[in-house]
Amino acid sequence: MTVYKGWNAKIYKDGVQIGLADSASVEIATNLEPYYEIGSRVPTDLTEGNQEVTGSISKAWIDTNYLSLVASSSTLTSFDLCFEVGNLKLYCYDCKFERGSVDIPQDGFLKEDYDFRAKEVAVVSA
Amino acid sequence: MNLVELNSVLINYLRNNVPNPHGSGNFIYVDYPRRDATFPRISLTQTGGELRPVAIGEKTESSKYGKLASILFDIDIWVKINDRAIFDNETYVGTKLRDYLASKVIEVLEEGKETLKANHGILDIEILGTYSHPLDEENQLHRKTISIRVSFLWERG
Repeated sequence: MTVYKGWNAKIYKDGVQIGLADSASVEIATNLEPYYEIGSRVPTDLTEGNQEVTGSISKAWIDTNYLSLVASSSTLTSFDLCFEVGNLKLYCYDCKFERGSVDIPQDGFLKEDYDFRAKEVAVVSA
Repeated sequence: MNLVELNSVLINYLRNNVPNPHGSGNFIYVDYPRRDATFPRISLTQTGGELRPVAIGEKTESSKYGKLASILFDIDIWVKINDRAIFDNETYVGTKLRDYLASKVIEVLEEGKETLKANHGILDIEILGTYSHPLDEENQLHRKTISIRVSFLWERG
């Protein structure tokens, strides 16, 4: 088992490495529903709910490529993401940005932050 | 760019833009002056800094992992108490000359941010502060220190 730091990781969007990203996260929610019988304090069953795959990416603002994916007033363009470190890969398929923001601090680096939602997720360990 | 190249970039920029009290020749160097040096003089010295990962898996254009370097410098302006120079028909002597040169250093660094970014990839030059030292009576020297922080992308070999 190897422990990694963030600089080891790589993030790909449609196969192209995303540069200047300084943080990212992925959350997979199963929305489990517990079933409790009368007379029991513990659930007798856990029923899988809808799967939700969401995440965020924060990167330096250097172009309009990502902003244009969230600023469109028509149908949003979907894309695939891959988070990779060592032999570990986390694929997020058919993603769309659901929120984007630009941060312009007075004395810091210009940043853009995005929240995405994916249709499907796959975890691969080579 | 590495630390030595950064020194050269800053020294050349200051030499080309700070008014020269001697009229000609160099008076800005990357070292502290010897006692028998010619004054007025400006020295640029790296005092510290840090390198940290610039981003997740980030690589610079030359396909090397990059670091975000924040390097601290002290720029010292050294003037003998009787040194004098004339700029724009005004005579500057002693502390007045020291403060004039310090002011010019700050001015040209602020003015040059865009040029240094475009030509050398220097992300920022921050003026952290200035400090006027007490008179060095033994050497008859006035001295003012300007502390700056320079940020740039360091290519790891």
